[in-house]
Amino acid sequence: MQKPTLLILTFSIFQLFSFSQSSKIDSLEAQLKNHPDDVSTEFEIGVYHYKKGDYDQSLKALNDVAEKAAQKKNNPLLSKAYTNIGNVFADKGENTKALEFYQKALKIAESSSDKKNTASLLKNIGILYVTWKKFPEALDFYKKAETIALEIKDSSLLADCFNSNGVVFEQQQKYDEALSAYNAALSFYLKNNPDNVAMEYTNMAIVYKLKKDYASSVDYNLKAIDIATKSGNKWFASAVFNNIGNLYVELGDTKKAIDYCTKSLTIAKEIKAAEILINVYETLADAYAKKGDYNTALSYQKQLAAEKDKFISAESTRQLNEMQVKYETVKKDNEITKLQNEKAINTLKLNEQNLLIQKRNYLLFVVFLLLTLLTGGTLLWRSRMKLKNKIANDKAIKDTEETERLRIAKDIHDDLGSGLSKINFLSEIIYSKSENLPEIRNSSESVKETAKKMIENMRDLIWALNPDNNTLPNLVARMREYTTDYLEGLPIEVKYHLQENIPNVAINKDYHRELFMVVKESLNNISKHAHASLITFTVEVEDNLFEITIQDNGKGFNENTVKKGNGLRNMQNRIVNLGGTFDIVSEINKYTEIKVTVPLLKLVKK
Amino acid sequence: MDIKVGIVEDEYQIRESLLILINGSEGFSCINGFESAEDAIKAIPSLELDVVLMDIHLPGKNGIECIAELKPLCPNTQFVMCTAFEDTDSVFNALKAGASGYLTKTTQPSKILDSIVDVYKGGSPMSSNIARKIVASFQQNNTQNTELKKLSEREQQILELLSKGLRYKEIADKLFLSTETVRTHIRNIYEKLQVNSRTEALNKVFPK
Repeated sequence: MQKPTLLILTFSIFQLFSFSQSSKIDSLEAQLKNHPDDVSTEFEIGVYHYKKGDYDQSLKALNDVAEKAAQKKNNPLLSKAYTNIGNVFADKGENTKALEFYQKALKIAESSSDKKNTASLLKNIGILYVTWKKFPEALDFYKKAETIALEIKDSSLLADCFNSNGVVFEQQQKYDEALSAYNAALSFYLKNNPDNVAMEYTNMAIVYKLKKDYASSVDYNLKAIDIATKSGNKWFASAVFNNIGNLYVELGDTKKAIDYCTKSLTIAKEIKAAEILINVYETLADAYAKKGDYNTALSYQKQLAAEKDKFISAESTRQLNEMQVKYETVKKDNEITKLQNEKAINTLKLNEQNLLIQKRNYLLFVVFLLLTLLTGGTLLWRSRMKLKNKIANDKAIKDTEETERLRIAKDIHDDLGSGLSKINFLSEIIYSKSENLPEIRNSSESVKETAKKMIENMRDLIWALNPDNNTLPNLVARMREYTTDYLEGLPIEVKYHLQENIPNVAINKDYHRELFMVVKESLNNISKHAHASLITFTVEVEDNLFEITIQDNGKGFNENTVKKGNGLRNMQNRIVNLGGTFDIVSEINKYTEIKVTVPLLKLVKK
Repeated sequence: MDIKVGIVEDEYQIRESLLILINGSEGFSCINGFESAEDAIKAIPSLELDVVLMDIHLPGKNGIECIAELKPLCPNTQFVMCTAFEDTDSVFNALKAGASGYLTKTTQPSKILDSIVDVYKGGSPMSSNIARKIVASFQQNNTQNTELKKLSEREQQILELLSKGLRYKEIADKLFLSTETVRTHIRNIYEKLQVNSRTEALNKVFPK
């Protein structure tokens, strides 16, 4: 269920984060305007757009550069252009295309014996193979890259290769090999590239966690945190705090887990790092769930869902912006065409005056038509997208709660279910094998009882979480079923007076549980204390009041002298809190009657 | 004659303790335990078992898929789905796939043996939740039901009472039937449900 978070592949993210100023692009563009044939400036523009994440503009510039470089047989530039086109596609997730361009670039780099580029291309191709989970191939490419890096003594490239190797080993679950690869990378980074040291510590912490060597994992995480706080890299610090929190959840130390997560959360909120927020909310939900505080866990689950939604809508905003940029680009192109057309018209003017006017009008008309269509289309598209997003959002909010409920129910079922069944069976075995060991026999029996109780509570919870079950008639049916089953084998008879045509309304799940608890607790009391032979179970709906009455013919109690047990008092409190009434009346040696009424309006799910 | 039982359960301890329980009880013989659906599918058709206890969560194919594959191969074997908390959807899907019953793994051992005998003798448990799901499922397929796949009036009556929370004995008393008869009706309802689900699946492959 838990992921080792997002820190394993942080190279490109760091590059992205250290990137900056927009004034640079203006000067680059000005330069290009003055020297339209300056391909190296155009190349820089392409790289700039790539790093900013404007992939379309980047591809446009880089493709142009590649074309010109090919014409001029400028191989080094061509190779660089192909490499960066590959990078763009890799970032966009179009890995096959990325591979195609890397290979083109590699061919050139190899033929011109550009070793540094060859090695880094081999490494990049290796990373692509990792995403396809073709690990042996990936390792092959890394190996080649490593050999060249050694040859040209490029230690930072070598360290990158080691780190990449580590990532592969980690995914192959060869943790010891992963560790030694990371260690090797670390020793290089320590000497030459302090920026990557913290990342390496984190990678190692993750592997130790996977190895279940939690002490070492904590150690390395703390080292990473130390560096991150000193260097002031808040994004990284927040991510590592979350990782530590995650670790403590696994260790079962929920208090520490929550402490660290809170630190992570504070920073993540401050720097608005959505991808970390999502992780922290998840960790917090896990921590509180482990602590048994399901309310808080649920509220973090909700925040998680909300944050994911936001993330998605942020993504669609980004896409929208991208479309906008595309549109602007096309518009600019059109304007250029328009200018060129006008130029052409001017030349024609010298020859045929008459034809000119006709043609010009015609051309302008076409251009105008094109522009109108384009603008109209884009506006239409945007407003449709907006509407679509809004509808999707509204629906998502409604769906989220339902899905969350089902998801939690399923998780509880799958995880706790098999665990509890196992406890149940194991305690049974211990019980049967401990005939001569009374102490062990007693404990195993109480383990068995506890497991059984938990299982029963879980069953009720799951039942109540299933939206199919949330109607009033279904609740009554379940009460009846439970009562019959409970009394089976006991010398107590039961008579039901259940009103026909109980309103078929969906009811609030809180009521659901509380009302069902009343039945369970009452049956428990009757079978333990009342010495009754008959129970009368009545359900009525009258004057918009839903009423359950459970009466037994047992020994009763004196309401003034007998103190109500905790169970009864708790029930009473809960029903009253929900806006209902709870009454218990008894007469010695005659009867005891529990009556619960709740206004129907309150019961109905809103 | 002993009731021949098989167990498909991936948790070693649970499998072993079920084996011990069943092998140690009079009137039962537990032929084999399997830890995956794939193993079970290979071995069970030739074993002529009476009852198979099937876990829902298995590595690889799950228990429901396993029943769906095995039931046509061994129509005389009764499959019992084992769940942790009797969650309605899984149980219902298992019943559609060909299971004749279900039990929770947390029931007392003696009750597990009772359930096996019950299923072997032609009985099938049905809770109010499941009854409601079955009613809904038959209503959905109403238009294309041939006579054979329709529920009889009696069966509909029984389902309605079950969905209100009545137990077999209560239903038998109310309808002046024997509990045995009620049980037979319920087994028949399950069989119709399975026929229905198979048509459903066929209709998906050859859309009308």
